Amino acid sequence: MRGSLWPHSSGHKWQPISVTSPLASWLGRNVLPLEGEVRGWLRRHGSDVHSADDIIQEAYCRIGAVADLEQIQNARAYFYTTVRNILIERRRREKIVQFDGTAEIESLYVLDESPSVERVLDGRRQYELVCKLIEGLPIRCREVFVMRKVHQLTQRQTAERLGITENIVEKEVARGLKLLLATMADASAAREIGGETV
Amino acid sequence: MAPQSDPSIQETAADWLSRMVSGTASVEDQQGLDNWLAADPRHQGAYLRAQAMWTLLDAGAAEPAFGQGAQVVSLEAHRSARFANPVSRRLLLGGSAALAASLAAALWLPGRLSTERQSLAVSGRDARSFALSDGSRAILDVGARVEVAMRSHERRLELLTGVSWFQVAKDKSRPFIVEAGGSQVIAVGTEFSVSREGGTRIIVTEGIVKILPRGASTPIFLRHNDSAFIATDGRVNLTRLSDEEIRRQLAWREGSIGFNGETLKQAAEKMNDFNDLQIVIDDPDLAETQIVGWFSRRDAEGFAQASATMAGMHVERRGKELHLKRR
Repeated sequence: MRGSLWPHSSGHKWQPISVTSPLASWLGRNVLPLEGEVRGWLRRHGSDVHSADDIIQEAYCRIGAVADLEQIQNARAYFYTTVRNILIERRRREKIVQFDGTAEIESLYVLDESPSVERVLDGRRQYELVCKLIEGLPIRCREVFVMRKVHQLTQRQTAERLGITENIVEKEVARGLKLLLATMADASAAREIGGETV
Repeated sequence: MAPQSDPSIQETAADWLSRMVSGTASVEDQQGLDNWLAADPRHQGAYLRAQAMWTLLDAGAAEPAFGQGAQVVSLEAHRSARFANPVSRRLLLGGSAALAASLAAALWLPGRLSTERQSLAVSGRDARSFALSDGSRAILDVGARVEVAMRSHERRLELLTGVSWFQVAKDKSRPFIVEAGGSQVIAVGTEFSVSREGGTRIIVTEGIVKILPRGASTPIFLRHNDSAFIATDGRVNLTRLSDEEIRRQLAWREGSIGFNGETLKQAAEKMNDFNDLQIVIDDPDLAETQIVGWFSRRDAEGFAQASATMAGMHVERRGKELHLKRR
């Protein structure tokens, strides 16, 4: 079917992208909200948190190397398949267990072929998700994210409005991003935040 | 650059991203980032992941249309939801030591985060006037539904069905935005009506409003007596109305209806929507007679009598029906 589009383990070239590229936007809408679910799957297949982090990061990297993301019909299946391939490669490389495996991991394909539920977050769900995420941040952090993201102010404007230095704004952005990325990585938290779609 | 002693790849990626979006990143920063990214595919993935998060958050800038009957979620509303949610709370606050302090902090919410919500609807047979919390007024016609979200930086309303007229209290710091059918009407202090009739019609009765038709990137400014009709495909038709025509178009606010050349058939159908007493035109030729005049929407008999007089007919009542017949 979409054979040529499925992720391969072949090498690819890293292309630096601007911070808010269409790629980042696509990943934010299609991949990030599924992470909790995919990490849950990884856990059930014996990955610890640390290796799950590695696998997810590698998956982002591979998906990021796909030339035409708009061609991907089912982002969820694509994400799962990428993760599954990385998992199999790692197991082979590590040779930790006698990997009899395909049986167990093949079961994933059943999941892939399931009728394609609309998994992309529409504008409304994105908005709700973002509200929940920002609302969950500690107070100073939340103020910074409300200015930067809800009001779309620059770092300098944010610093002026809040009466803090730009350096503090930058540090709060980093802190908030770490918290939010951790939230998205937590399967149960992500499910609660994303509702039934995630 | 990383504040923690042993930052994970993801934390380092977040630090890099906060540097790159700061607006103060130097050439050396860019070089440092490139080196870090080139070192490991996982770095690239983690940085992409942070970028995806940062970009996703832009969705917080534009509150989308309220869905029908969907539970409306606001920043404010989630304060309580979060307290009822031990998993993410624990996760976000990072342990019980931080819990007490953060709880205290969370109880104090800055005013700009609060959102007041109101759902307006008119189900009876008379238009109704509503006072909004900012001092504005909305008059909704029968069948109209409006969702109101008053936030500190904007006043956002959505017209889900029907027609509504708004008298906007002046507040320069908070634009008053009405969404209808994907288009936006933006005002500061003015009066206008919005109706959904196939497309979206906007009539300005005072001041100036800015409209952003669905799918359009450039706004259109409307002055008083201007009217815009935005078709479902986003095409816009602008017209200038006379004071008389404006009064007629907005007569519903007083429970009146003004006809200006509609056929008797069309006029009778409109009247019948508001009354149990139904007007029936027996003669098809009479049905095409043009009608001019003002009526109370609830006065079927008055309408029937006046129409009969104008068109040389007479009225015959049969139970719940008023028959208009040739004399």
